[in-house]
Amino acid sequence: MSPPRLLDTSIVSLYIAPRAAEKTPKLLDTVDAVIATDGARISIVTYYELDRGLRKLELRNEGRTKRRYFTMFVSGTTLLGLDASSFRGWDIAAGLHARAATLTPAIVFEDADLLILATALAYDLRLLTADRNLANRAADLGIADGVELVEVS
Amino acid sequence: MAGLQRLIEQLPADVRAQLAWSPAEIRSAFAAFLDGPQDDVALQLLVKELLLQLRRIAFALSSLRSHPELLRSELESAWRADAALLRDYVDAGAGDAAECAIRGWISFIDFSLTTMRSGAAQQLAADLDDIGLDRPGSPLRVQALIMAAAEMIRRTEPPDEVAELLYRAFDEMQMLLLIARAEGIHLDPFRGETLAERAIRTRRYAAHLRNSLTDEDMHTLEESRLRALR
Repeated sequence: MSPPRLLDTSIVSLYIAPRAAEKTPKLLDTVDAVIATDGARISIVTYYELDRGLRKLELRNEGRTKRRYFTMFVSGTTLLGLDASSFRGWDIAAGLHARAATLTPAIVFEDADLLILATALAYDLRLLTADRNLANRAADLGIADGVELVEVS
Repeated sequence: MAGLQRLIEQLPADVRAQLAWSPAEIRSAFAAFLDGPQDDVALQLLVKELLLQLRRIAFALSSLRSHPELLRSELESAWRADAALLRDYVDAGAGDAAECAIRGWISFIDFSLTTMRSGAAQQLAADLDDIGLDRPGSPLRVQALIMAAAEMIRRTEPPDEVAELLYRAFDEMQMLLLIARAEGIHLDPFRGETLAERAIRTRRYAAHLRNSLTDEDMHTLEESRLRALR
């Protein structure tokens, strides 16, 4: 049995995007299936990334209700942070960063990707992502099994 | 209001006879709110009137305290009926917001009934008293807004205007949940739901969000992604 999945920001963004059923039907089906079998799990970093965008819309009077719907959506998910178990997620993130930086050539992760990947590893989850670069970097680091790529055209 | 009436009908006749319960005064307070600007000052006035009426019947309701399961059951029945009424009148997004607010309110009452004499409940009650029961994040504001929305339906007001009150109730409930969490109390409005029920709800909320977002909004969200912490 494969481990439960953590939904990356790239996945959540495409899942909530307008006309997702037409544009990314495979991703929509995959995420629907994950929600049905595992329940939706997201990182606090994903929450932070999306919430700050929605807050911008709210301040421009373009998004009060949109942010309410996001709050409702999050209420159906399990939100995971990096602080549990004596800050284990941060510890894993620091280790990943150091390993990636000292390889030749060095692998560079964006901070959000690194923190979300570390969250997945801290909770023994597989990271579901639509970001091929992230999946490739994880493979280069020897943790390909920890990441599952959903192809989007 | 039907919920309060229903609770009062559960009381013994002699207790009921002592009540200074005045549905007409409450109706008048709601009419003043609905016919006015419906702003925060008006909401505070409405909550004060509601609190006054609730205090008048508090001694009677306290007789139900020794039967919390009855009180819980009656409240649950009343609020489920309200949720169904509201859901039928407004669009699906506002209906779900109303359900969230109502379930949050039930979880708050349930917690209060379960831990009535515990330190945690007293601390939360003290905090709510400190911020004032007419201030943002008060359970009475949630209750007043939902009752006002139900009253608007009785008056056949436009669904969009009813929805606006329900979204305000949702916002108030989110604030109440935050206040509780700051005290270390996790109120779960959807406690006990199965994974299947939760999946249906999550996908439905995602659909509301998806249907409300535009391509320009997605551009803003993409721009807001975290690239580097420094």
